[in-house]
Amino acid sequence: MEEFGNFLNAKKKKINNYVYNKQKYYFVLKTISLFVFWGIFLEAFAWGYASEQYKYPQESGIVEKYEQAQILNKKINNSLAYVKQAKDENLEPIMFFSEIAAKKAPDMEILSLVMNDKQLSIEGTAADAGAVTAFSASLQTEKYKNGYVENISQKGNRVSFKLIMERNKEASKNKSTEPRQGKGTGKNA
Amino acid sequence: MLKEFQEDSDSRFKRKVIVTCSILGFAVIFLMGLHIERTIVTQKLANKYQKLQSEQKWLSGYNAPRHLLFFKSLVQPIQRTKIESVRQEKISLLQQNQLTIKSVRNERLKKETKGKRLNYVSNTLQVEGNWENVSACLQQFNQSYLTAVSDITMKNNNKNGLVDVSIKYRIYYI
Repeated sequence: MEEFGNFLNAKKKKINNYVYNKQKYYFVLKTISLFVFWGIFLEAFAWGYASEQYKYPQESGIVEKYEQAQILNKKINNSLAYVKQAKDENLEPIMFFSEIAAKKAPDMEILSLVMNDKQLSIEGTAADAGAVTAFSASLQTEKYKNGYVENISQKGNRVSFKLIMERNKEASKNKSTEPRQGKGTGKNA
Repeated sequence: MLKEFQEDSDSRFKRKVIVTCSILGFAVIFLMGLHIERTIVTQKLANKYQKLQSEQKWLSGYNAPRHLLFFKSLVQPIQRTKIESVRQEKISLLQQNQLTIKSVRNERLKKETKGKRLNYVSNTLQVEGNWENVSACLQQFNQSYLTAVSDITMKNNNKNGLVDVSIKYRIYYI
């Protein structure tokens, strides 16, 4: 079996191969281990970097301040809505009395006045029918519109009249007291 | 190579390789999990960071004391338990303005409705007085509390020269 010049016999060849294969296994395993180790290292570094990059100072209390501001804004919105509801439903008679006082003829006498959420009616006496129609035409207010003279009759040297005006429900809806919705800018309370 | 490994009689080497492969396998799975988790967590952190940044920007333009002052300046609806005291104050207001109270009618509280609109209770006052006093009373009527005059009737009384007034008003409450 032994051949000159070939110092490795079959058994030794087999042993050599075996050792070589072992070394290959070890090499592959070590290489993979190295990659995995570096992978873990890189991943740990990436974790640290990400948490540092997106770190926000906790002591500044932004979240709390923002939440408080939102709660306050919500309360303001609700209160504005309440005030608007009350304002819309309020007939504001004093404003209307001033309007009547300013626009009626000096000799015109107001005998009765009825205001409700549907209409306004004014009964009174005036020197002539012209004064009544002029008064009716001038009384176009924000909350009442479509004024008309329901009846007019001569009584002695004066005329008595009844004036009707319909409540303008659109006016209160379109008013600028609309409450702010949503988050808002925070600048325009 | 694999065949030789299988046929290898050195159990120590085989065990060593198997254990190492298992550890490496677990490590790789762990690494993948860690990576996926990091992607998710980083995304969440980035979103939170952006949100905080936008909130901080919003807060820089927000004047809290001014808003608080504005809120305090708004007339608030009263508590349900305070309705009676408001009614009493309205009657005191009439008396302060020297108006003669003819009748007072307070409606019962209705079943409260849930929604954005405020609940209210209606009350009717019938008074008599001169025009100046009626006018002065109405000027002050809706101050301090969230109330509204929903119906008003005024008639000249020819007998005594005074004005008969019927005021129906609402008290808003929470």
